[in-house]
Amino acid sequence: MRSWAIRALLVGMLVVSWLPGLVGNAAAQTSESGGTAFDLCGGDRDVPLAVVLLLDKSGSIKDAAPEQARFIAVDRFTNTLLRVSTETDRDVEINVVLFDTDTETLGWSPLDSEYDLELLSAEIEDGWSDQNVNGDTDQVVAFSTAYDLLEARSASCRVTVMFTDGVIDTVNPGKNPLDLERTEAEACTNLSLDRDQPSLRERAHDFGTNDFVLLLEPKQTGIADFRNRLSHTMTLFTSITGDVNPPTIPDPSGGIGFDPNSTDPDEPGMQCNPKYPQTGLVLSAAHASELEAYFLKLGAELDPNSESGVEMCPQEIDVGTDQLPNGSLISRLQIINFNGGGETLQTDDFEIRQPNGHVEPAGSAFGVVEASDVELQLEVTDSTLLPGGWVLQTVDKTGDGSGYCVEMTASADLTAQLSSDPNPLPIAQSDEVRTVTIVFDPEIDGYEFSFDLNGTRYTTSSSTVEVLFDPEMVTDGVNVSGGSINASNTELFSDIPVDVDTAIKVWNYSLSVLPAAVCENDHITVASGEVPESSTIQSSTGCTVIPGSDSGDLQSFVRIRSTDDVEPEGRVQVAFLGSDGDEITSDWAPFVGAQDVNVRIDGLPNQTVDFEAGYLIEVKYGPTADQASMPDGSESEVAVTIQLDLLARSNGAFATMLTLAVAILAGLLSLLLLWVFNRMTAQLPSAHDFFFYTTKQSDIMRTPVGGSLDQDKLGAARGTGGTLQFGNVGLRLVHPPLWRPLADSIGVIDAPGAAASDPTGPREGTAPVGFASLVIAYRDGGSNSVALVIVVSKSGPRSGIDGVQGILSDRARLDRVERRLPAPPESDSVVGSEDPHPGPSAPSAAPSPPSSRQPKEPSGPTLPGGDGPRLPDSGK
Amino acid sequence: MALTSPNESPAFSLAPTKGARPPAIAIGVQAMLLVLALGGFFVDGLALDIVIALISVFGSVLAFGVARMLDDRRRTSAGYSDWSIVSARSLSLWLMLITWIIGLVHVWRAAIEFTRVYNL
Repeated sequence: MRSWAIRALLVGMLVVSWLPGLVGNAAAQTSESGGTAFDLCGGDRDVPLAVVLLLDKSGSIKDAAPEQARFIAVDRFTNTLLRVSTETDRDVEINVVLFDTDTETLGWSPLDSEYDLELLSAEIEDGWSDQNVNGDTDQVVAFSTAYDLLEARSASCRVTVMFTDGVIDTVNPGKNPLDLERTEAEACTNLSLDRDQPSLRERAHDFGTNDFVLLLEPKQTGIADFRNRLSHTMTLFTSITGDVNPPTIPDPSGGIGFDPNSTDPDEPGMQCNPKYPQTGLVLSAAHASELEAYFLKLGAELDPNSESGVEMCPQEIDVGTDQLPNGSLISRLQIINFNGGGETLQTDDFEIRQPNGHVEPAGSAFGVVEASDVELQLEVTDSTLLPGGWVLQTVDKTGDGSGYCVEMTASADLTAQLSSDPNPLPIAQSDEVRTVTIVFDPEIDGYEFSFDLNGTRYTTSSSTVEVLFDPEMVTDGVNVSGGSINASNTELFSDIPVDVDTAIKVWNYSLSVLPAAVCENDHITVASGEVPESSTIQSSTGCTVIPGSDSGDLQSFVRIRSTDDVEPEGRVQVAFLGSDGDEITSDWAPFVGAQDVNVRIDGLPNQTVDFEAGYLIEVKYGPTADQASMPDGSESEVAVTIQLDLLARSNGAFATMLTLAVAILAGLLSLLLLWVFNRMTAQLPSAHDFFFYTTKQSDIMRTPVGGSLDQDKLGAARGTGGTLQFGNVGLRLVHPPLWRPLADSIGVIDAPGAAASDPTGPREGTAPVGFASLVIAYRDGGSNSVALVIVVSKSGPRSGIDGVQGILSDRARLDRVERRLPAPPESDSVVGSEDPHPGPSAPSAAPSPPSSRQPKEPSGPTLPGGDGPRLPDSGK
Repeated sequence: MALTSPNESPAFSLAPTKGARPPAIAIGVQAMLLVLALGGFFVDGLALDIVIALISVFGSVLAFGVARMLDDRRRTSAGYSDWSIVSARSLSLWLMLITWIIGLVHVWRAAIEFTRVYNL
């Protein structure tokens, strides 16, 4: 009861009289003029308006309204006040009193321009910020100060408006009840603690003030309540200006609100009414919706142009408030549930765009816009708040500009909602609705899409992107592993968003395009360069959706499909125009019926297109030439989705790993093939693989075997072992005809006659002395001297002269060879020799020292025969 | 111990007879494979890269084997006469190696294109 009593006192104190007949008169005047009727003080607009704002900065106000809430509340009030000034051409001045138990006065200032408003708002935000809000509450001091200020404004229509949370007095009531008593006394009993001054009521009565309280309900937080309070604020002040009737059906049972005609002194809030029956109004949530609805209707009926005389803007938008007078500044866009419970979706998140490219960024809507033709864009971020029909409304602030036109773009969903409104106001709609679908990698978080719109960059965060799964969009030419999703950006951009700033591997986009008249000659420049993390596509006009990439190679195809319910008819042509003069143009593809149409471009579909030079991609859409049934303009009913799928990104790491895997596999297979061929093609060493090295005294002479090798016998020896003879030297092959085994058999010594008597040949000395080397020792029959014939391959670890020297250094081996040499033949004939050559001349030469390295006195063993040349000393 | 001229006091009659020559056709095929592999750089396409890669990698090995086999047979014959500028065996080996490596490059190109097409 105590709180109600306090509120009652507040009402009585604050809403001091001099509002006789105001409400009724205001309504009548409004209906008569069809415009705004801010008719305070008898409707004489020549009387200036003097307003004192009383802002409660006691500590409890923090609980009632957060800082920003207070700012917005007072801002809305002052905006409305500015509108009063500009639309009624009435002089308005305002003073602000910040109070707790003391007061701080900001001083009088005129309010007739945006500039004044900005200054005032800045001062209020500074003085009413949380850091300056503290202390107890003393409304008596506040009103006393207000009346002091108004006292000098006797020629004005005097108004006081208090923003408070309704907590009357918090100066420790339990400890100092005098404050509470004083409040009550001042408000209702016409008593004053300061006997030198009349009571507040008396002063108010004398001044003829219009006193109102904008009650910020305490202990309520949250944006919904806050918005409700904003509506209350708006409505209350409108009631001050006479535009709104107070509730005619009060809600006394709820304890809030009151019946202005009641005579029940016990009703809360009525303590002061018996004397001043029509002066108090405390708005509560119970009446908010009605008052707001009424206000909105009233606001929609406003016709500022009728009062300002400004030339009408072109009828581009069919919204009541779309055409603003000179200097109008779009301050806010509201979407208010017309039929619901008073919920208001309000946003300052829109931008004002001018034809010259200047953009007022979001949140700076209160700035001064200097050019004409401002386009407003509203971002609807939560369509679930739109059931039951909504009203779009702009609240303008009038300045002295040159006229603005507001264009609104509404999504199809919003349009549908609005059209279902039983009593809708005209709603702005764009004649084109574009949607953007982007396929992106679901593994990437934090999407941010930026859109270039007529040279202006718009960016939306991921929170505003509605993600829908549309498997149909992932079709031919787009192969996305792990699944993909489509992000349908339903924001109300009127142009093409084409800049994707995220690392999207594959992106498609589709959008509805407009008819031929708009789409023709529309082209987009594709930049050249290397593959970046992001790609930029620019569109010169707003019709075509053309993806682009800086990739060197693009594999693309174009798909065009109908997205409309109507049966589309038309044809499509797509062209890639290279900056280097190359051009790839498709034939005109007929487009009849709502079906997918693949536009084939010679050399383009499913093939790689080199974009290094940069390309213009041009899409033309229009009716077929021979479709006589297609009337002019019918294409405007056709929406075509043009989708280009690009594969512009690659995975280098994966490709490298794949390549390595293939390389390893191919290498193994290649080695296997080589091994097989080696097995197939391994042969006995050919004649060219051997040289004869003959020792002749101190020299070693090298002579290719060449044709001396008996090929027939060589062939016969394969696999079986046999005797080869060249010259008068018999050579036994004892192993299969493979190179390595032959090498292992090196050292076989044979001599004329030995092969016949011992087919297997002597095995002594078969230890390899080198890769494929042969050592043949024989005696020259004619001179009975001994020479060595060493046949060494021209390849191998001990080949060539090194091999020879290695053999000659193997003294033990040579000794064994020597011991196995047969006795010198009696003649030069060689048994089994088919070689017609008489025999080596070198070995038959006179014996000579075996080597220059050999000592003059032979130290090595002497070959059989005694006086023959000595074998070189191996040094052992 | 000095190495004397082969013509000095030859021990045998070692003059080569009429002669077989290296397998020019087989080596020519290897060269053509190399040209094919190089030419693949001037065209694009996943399938083409794959085909060229396979031909280059495995075809070069097969051609090399054939060339080596033919050369071996000819070398076993009397009077074989190798090319004077470069050995046929060496040439065949280098052709195979170069072609094989280029084939691997085509494998990489195909892999890159593969990742693009299939969005890997």
